[in-house]
Amino acid sequence: MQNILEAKDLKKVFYKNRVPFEAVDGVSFHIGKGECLGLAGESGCGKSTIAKIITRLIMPEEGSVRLDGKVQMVFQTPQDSFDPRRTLGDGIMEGMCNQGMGKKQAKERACEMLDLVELDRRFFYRYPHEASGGECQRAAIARALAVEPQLLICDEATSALDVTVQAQIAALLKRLQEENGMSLLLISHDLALVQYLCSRVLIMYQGKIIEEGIPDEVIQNPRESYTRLLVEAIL
Amino acid sequence: MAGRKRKAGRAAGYKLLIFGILTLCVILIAVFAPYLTPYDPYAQDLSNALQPPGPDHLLGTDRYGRDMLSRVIMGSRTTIFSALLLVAIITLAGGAVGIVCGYYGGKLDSFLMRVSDVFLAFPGMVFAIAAASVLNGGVLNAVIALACISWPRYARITRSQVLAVKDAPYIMAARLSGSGTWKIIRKHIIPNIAGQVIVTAVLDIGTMIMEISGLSFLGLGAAPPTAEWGSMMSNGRSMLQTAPWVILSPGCAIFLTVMVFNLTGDTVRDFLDPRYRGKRRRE
Amino acid sequence: MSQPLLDMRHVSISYDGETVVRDVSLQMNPGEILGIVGESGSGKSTLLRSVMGLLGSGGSVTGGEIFYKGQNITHRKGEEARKLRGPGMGMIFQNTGAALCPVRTVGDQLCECVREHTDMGREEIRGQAKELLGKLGLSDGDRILDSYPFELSGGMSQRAGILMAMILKPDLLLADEPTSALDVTVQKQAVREMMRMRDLYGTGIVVVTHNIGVVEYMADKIAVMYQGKLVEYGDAGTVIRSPQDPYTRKLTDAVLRVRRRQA
Repeated sequence: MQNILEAKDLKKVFYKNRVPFEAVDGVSFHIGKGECLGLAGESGCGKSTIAKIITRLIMPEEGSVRLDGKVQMVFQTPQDSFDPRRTLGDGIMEGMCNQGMGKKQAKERACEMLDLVELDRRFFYRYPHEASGGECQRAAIARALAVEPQLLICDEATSALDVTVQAQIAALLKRLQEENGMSLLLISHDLALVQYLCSRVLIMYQGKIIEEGIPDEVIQNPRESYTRLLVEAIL
Repeated sequence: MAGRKRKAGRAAGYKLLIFGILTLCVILIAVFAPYLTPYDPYAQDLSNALQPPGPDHLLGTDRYGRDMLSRVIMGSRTTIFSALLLVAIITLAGGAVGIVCGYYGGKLDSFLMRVSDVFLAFPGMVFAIAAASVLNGGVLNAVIALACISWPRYARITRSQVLAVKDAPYIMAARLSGSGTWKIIRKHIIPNIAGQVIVTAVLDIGTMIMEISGLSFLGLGAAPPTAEWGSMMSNGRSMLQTAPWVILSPGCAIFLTVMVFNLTGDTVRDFLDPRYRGKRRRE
Repeated sequence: MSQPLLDMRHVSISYDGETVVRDVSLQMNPGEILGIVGESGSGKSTLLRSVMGLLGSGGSVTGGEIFYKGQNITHRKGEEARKLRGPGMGMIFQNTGAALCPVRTVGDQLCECVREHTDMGREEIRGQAKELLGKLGLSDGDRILDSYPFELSGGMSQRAGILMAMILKPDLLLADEPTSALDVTVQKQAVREMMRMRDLYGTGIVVVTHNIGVVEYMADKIAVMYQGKLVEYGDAGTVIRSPQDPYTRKLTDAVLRVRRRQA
């Protein structure tokens, strides 16, 4: 399988009151074409930092990322991921316009994207506060997919949503991933979601990847004690 | 909950309408001042000097026999326009510095913020008096002097607002979608912070009117023949007992105008308050 | 059967004329754990706040009555309400760190809270707090009590919140999304601690959450709320395994469960 992303020895240090704190400490992994990789761990373990490094929102101190093609991201807080003063449609079109697409064509495609994520076309004219969390999250997925990224990163994309909506978004992601053969990096603390969507999972703890494997097996027979703790904590 | 918010929002809307109209009236008076004055505000008529308010001269005349009402109306032009100019200058200059500092951070931010600290460390009015006298008086120079001491506050407000929004997910999403820095600042950051800065600016118009009048009162603003409220009060201060109208008319004009602008500022703030924009989240 | 600990009869609540809770009747016995689940906006937190007497401005109980140990507490206010909190009812919020004063130590605030209701001495309270923390599996009680809220992690301050709610050994503990801000491993600890309190002191617990897993794990009875109405109420096992109401069915179906194949 061809790799869409290869990350080598990533290292990122943050300073908290001048005390260095290694958010990401020597992490290497790859994502294959069409693969859905899960990245699981608790808050503060460095999951989101990895997402920011891949999307070049921050630079790592050490290590390299090789990425074939474009990357897009879906954030945890749906309402905050759209500019409160602009319509959802404006937000979806922004990336396409930046790529030099005409307004009319971009709007047409934005509407197609709304169809794809099963959102009514009238949401094009809505503001973020006029849509629910689930609707905003669908629009965010539409925005991400509109520019045809080779890799989509979902950073806790369902955790802020209601249970029933979570299930809908998870099903949507599964469908899109199966239909489009898109590569997906799913960052989540929810092992059930990882198991539902991913073919491979990385468990992160204190900035390091401590375990890797097929979700079913990792959940069934965790090798590391932390992984076991994580699995047992599921209610 | 939504019902109360809507009601509060509507009340703020009505208030905004009323004060907006009042503000507009004040500004229109200033704009059309030359056409509204019953007499030439600069025509001296020593035979009519120091007339008390009466049917001919509603607000009386000053010691050169100039009609006070005409001078107050004409003076509104100088005072209000210079205050608006001043607020516009400091909002734009301070805002630009604040956006640069907030968005880029780093050494440039530290440098500019230390510069603003230096300006903030001077006793404001004293600095303005010094600057205005060095610059040789005149309304424009008074505006420049006051701008020098007032911009840092705007830089700070803007900077803190930028810091609050610049790490929001929607800014990250915009960066991811390939928007350049300038586009992000123009399309996402400025619209989202403008509200707070505008409210501060409107609330400051009143203060600035007083400061400009203050400088003029000290003889550092408008030069003598020009009708300006502060210098008019200064001219009248020796006659407070014999001809109180000479000092009271421009004084009341300052009082009323400042009050109108301040109340407008308050209502604008209420109106833009996100709590009244309602309909967000219930629980 | 003995008198119910909490008895809500046809309670309706509105905020500024807008009804957010409609005709809800619930009963719970001493030592029972009641879980209230529902989506955001379903009125579950509002219902809990009406029991606490913390509906806030604009909110009021417009219909029905709430009884606590046979005493009508529907419209209590001021001093009466304050006396009831503490020894009678304890409360835990989603974000306890924010409910604590940032410039005083946890122990300090704990003492103040306890002395409002009893005449125990400072040392006595500290001793009890440490003993309780020990029972919760936290050996370094002194460190926690001498910490300022911001020095504690989210999990720790939440446990400090549980401690503050429990030190007066209330008969009823009201918990509003107590674990939602916590990591899964910490969430489990917090849930266990609450259950332990019930076992130790026979505290009745009402827990409001959107997390079905938490409720399934700890509750004896489950109430499902949807759009301000109580759509299902019954024994936890029954509600989860054979839901009657279509919304409950949708809710339980939506929960993604970890598949653990039996080895």
